[in-house]
Amino acid sequence: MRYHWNFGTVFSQMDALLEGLVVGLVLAVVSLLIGMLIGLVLAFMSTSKSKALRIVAKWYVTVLRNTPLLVLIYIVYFGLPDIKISLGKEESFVFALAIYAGAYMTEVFRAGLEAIPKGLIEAGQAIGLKRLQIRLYIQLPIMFRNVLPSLGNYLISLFKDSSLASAITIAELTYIARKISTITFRVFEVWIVTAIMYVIACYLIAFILRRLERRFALP
Amino acid sequence: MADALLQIRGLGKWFGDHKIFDGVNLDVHEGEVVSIIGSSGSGKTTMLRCVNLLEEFQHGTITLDGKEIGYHMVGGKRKRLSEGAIADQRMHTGMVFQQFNLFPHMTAKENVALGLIKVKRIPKPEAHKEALEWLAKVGLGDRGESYVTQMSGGQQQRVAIARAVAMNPRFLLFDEPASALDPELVGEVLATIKQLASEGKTMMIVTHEMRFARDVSDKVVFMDDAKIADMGTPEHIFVNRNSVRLQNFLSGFNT
Amino acid sequence: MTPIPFYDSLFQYRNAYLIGLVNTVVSSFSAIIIGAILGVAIGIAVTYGNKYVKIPLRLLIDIIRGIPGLVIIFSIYYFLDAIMMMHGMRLSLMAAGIIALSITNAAQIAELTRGALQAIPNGQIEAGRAIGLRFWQIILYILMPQALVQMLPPWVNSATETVKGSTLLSLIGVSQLLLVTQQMIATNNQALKYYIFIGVVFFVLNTFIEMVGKAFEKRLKTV
Repeated sequence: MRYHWNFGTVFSQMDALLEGLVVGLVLAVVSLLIGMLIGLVLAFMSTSKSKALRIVAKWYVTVLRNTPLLVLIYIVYFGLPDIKISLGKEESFVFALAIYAGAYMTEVFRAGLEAIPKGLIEAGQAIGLKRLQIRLYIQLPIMFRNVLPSLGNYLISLFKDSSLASAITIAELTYIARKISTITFRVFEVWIVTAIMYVIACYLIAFILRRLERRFALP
Repeated sequence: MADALLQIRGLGKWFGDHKIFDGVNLDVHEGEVVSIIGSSGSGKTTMLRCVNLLEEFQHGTITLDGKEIGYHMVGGKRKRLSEGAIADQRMHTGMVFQQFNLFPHMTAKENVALGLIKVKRIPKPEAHKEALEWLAKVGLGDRGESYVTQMSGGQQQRVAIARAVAMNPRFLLFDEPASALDPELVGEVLATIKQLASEGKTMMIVTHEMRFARDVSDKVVFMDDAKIADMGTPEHIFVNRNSVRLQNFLSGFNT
Repeated sequence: MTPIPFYDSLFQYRNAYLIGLVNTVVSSFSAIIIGAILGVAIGIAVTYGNKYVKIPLRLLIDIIRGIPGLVIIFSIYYFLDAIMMMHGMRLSLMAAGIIALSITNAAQIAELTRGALQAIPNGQIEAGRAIGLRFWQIILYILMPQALVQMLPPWVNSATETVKGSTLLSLIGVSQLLLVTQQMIATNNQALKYYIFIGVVFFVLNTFIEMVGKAFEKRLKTV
């Protein structure tokens, strides 16, 4: 049996697909930014002197890392209305992805903090800086440079995770691809093009981030 | 004199246009100890690695017991043998590396026994027994169960020597066996090699330990400028010092 | 159907849950094992193969790693479904799901294997050659045992990722835990409780895998 390829149908929908790709990218970036905030707070908690804070941070990370993202999305979107918290689709998804990312960010930031030589903190104390000042002016900037490569990798990972937004009918790339494939029956063409779009987008993000990294790298 | 055990003829190694060495001729007879000296970059380590076929070479032949190793002629063209055939030939040579290259996931005994079990197909219990005997010979009879990462550099190098001799090779190659060691550990390793030499083992040793080379060798090879510049008895090399280059080289050492 | 209290429903539908759990475990563990075998083989080939093996495999790994797991699941599902239909056969959803998860997993493991093998000093290979070992023996007895020690923690990580990823199979209709849960919610509401419950189940599953991994790590960490 010969299959007659026809990519024309797919390419005629390219605008919609590209729009979906941008939606996914925006979801990923916003989630990453919120996730970074969560991660930052929890990373400082997990390196703090208080045992209670360390335990809270540890449990947050353990629980969220072991929960499937899709379940998390459903909990937020379908579950929270049970306790009278109703968020829209996009808000729900970003909320779920952000708290999920927060767990990973905590680990990344914590590793970044722990990689800072103790001597630098002592040097800060020696010139009379307060704890908060040491965190702000010494630990944070060094940590950010330490974790930049991991952040980039994680953005790519979140971008791929944004495909899960299709499960709650957010019109991102995977959702649109699925829609086109069920309408046109051009399943091979649609999914091949979609996969290629994801791959190219991931490569582009990686490429751009590597350039940024070089700009921020310490001489 | 009988034919040499190992005959190196016109050996040449090039990286594209860059000559590592060329035109190397050398005979090693049964029971002979040959030291190779020379400044770093003179190609002596690479030459040794060629003998064990760890490096490809472009010119010349190496024959062991009258049989060429590493390459053969196919339709008038010189071709390297398959990795399997080369592995079989390497069974006859033992090599001790500068960085020991012991297997960190194995005990000393397992390091020595691996080749016996997997290459020589000796049953495991016997191989382990034999391995312990070899370890005892290098003065480590009680360390068989230790992981090599827990041993000193000198001990590690002695395990590596045991691993090489355990295969009962026709000859042994030593690539700067003491160069990676702390000064106080050099002695034990050199003493072990000396002992093997006195038992009549055939060996080639690349070394920077001049006094050792002088004591242990039957023949000393001085490599310089990508070729063998001089060769002869220890006397000839260390006392006569026939060339300016050799004099300059040796003046940097306590011989 | 009338809604019944949450705990009663868990009990009443325990068989459905059990089947869901079995399907979740079977699909993810098959993918973990198939992915491991394929991934290690590809990882070895991509590290030590000649350039005709290396370059295409490298490209393949990179491409798969650039595609979201869900897109791989949909692609495999729709591709296989279409192909089977052309031949008048019906596709097993479970099989499609396992194939998709295995592909994703294999690419991860291949990358892990490559990284671990490349970190091993070249002298290890030379020492193996020097005692006359064949290359496959060097891989089997010298390189892989060392690589495995390096790989184990990220491997365990990828295993838990695969278990979590198996929830995506609900989207192509594989009747595993998440789909069972959704069916439960469709009749009983109380979505929050059911979803948190299933979250706990996955937490337990993954904790179990991590414990097994830790135990292995301890046994391997004799070095």
